[in-house]
Amino acid sequence: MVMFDSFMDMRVAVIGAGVIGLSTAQSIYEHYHSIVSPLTIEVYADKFTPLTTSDGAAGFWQPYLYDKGNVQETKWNKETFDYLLSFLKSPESIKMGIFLESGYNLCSEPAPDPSFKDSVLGFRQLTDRELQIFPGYKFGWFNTALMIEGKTYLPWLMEWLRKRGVKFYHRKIKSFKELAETGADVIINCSGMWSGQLQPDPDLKPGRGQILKVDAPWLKHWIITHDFTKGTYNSPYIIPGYRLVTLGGVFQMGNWSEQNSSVDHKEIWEKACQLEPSLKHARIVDDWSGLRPVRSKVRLEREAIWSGETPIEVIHNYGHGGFGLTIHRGCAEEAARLFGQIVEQKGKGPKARL
Amino acid sequence: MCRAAMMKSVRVVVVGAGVIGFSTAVCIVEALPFCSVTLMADKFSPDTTSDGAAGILFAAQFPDIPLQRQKHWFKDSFDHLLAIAQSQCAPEAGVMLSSGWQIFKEVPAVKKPFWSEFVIGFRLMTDVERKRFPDHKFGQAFTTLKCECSTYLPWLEKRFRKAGGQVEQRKVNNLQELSNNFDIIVNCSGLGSKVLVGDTQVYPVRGQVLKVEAPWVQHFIRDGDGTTYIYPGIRSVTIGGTRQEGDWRLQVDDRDTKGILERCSRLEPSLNKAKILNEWVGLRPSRKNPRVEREVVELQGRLVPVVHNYGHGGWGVTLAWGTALDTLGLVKQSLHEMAPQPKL
Repeated sequence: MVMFDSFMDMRVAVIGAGVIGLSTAQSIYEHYHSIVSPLTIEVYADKFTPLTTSDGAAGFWQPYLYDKGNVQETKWNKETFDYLLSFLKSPESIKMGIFLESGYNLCSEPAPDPSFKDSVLGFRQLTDRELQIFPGYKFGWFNTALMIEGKTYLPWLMEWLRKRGVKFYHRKIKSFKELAETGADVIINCSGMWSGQLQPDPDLKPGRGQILKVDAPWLKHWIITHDFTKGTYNSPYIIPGYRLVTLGGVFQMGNWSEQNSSVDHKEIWEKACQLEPSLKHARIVDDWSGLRPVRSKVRLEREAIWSGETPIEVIHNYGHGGFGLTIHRGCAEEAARLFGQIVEQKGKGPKARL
Repeated sequence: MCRAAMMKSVRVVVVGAGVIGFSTAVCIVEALPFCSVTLMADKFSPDTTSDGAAGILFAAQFPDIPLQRQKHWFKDSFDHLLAIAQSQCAPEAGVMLSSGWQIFKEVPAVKKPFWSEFVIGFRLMTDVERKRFPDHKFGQAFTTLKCECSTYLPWLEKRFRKAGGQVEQRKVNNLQELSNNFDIIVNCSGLGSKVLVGDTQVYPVRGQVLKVEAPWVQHFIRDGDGTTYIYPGIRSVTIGGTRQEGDWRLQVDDRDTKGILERCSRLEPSLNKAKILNEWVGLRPSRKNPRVEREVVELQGRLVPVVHNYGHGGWGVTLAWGTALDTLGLVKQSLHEMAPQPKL
């Protein structure tokens, strides 16, 4: 006979309402709302869509070319891709902001196959004819990937959560203790770039990016160039979205400025026009800057923080650099698994009690 | 005496202002500056058959034209439009690259058609890619071009006029009308050739399409039977279609609308949520083989060279530039025959 612990309710406080925070709340709800009852989930953030980092990003699923041994991350990326792909059969995919888009990864010299070659669809090397379209690039790959636009996906996630009783609080959280004192049993730290304010992390640094949004609806392919001397995303890229095309190619480590720079603007525009001459007549609609929460690897782990006699259960899920949207579901599911461990340990789940 | 001086002001008329007419007219006027070229037609963009066509470059194989010639037609057209797509003119000309899939319910006899070497990145679909289309057993993936005539035709007209071409809006009822004022007649009158030159082999194949708002659709999907297709364009997605031989109706048929929506939504479920912007019907100027050849016709007592370039069916945009170049060659041959030989 299974008996439940008499204190079977749990309060989960999620810090951060970007794609990481919202999707983690979703995974926890999906896996545990029928096991832990009642399961109260609250999301605290100082920024909500459309003002989060996730909203500004182009919304293109693609990890960095090489995972540098972080095979766990490659697994989470693939899991996210497969998850998003499964929605394409349903008209719901439009409400989520998901759609397929093909394109070109261009390199100035031959390079090993990227980590994501088995995750995407129809991956292949570029033919000579295709390389002729991109003078200056000698090598590259073509594949079909997914777009997942933050400005559409985040509102969809929030609605999904709201319908299931998740509450949102517009508030900057200054410490884990603050939430623990209000009665949160588990805190999920999805505070992205600003995790350092909750707990110092010298490994977490800003990778500043700036983008332009232009009106160029004749472009249907993404084009990402790679310059191995300059590092990831410090090379032009063009990513057509639902209504506008994102132009970019700036990755400034250590730069905390969220202001648009006219120097960066000019460089991005000129390089994009060089890469895609038809852009010359595109109308520039918007500029945006954001800080990629860069870390040597994603911090996805439990931590018991001692404050007084009882430990505060924290699950960290931050440091996704320029691949937050790309990896979000895999990480959310892993965070939910870690949450499950806590549920077991606290005896909140269905467990035979002797 | 130089040839140019002998050739001066040879008067050429091109009949037809669709993609065949304008492509041919531009080829002629740009290559033969000593000719005066007039384009004459009853209907201009946006009222031509070309205007409603999705304009995706895609070929069929005609039974009686040497394969080598058909390959030239396709390759020349593709390369011409590709150069435009890569240039600053692309949006003004209405030309864009388009990737996607052609899928078949049954494995076709020819897995790699003759044009596969001329499009970009042609390959067979992987198993994972085909999973999205459970009713289909086989598929091809490639990148081709889309040329939107409602934008391309005005762009060609600009180019034509810039090179000195004259445009006249006039319905031509027979070739006799033209023989007084022109030395060479180039016939690009599509379905009109049935009456204009009495070609009984020309017949309409009715096609209905819908233009929908679905900016999330970035790839074309075409069923190998040629009747169901989804072609994302610059500002809308064209979905279709129908192939009704001998059907002259230009009105929209609601049953066709329903059929198109059903078939296309099965391939791309998200289309259920797309707003319909408008519907259109066009009559493909079909013929067993396109007629790209020259003849000499007696008109009002004169022997007048007539070069034909019509009967492209549903492949007008695809073959326009290639057949236009071919036609230019035939015009040059006609000029050569007309010119008095230099005396030694």
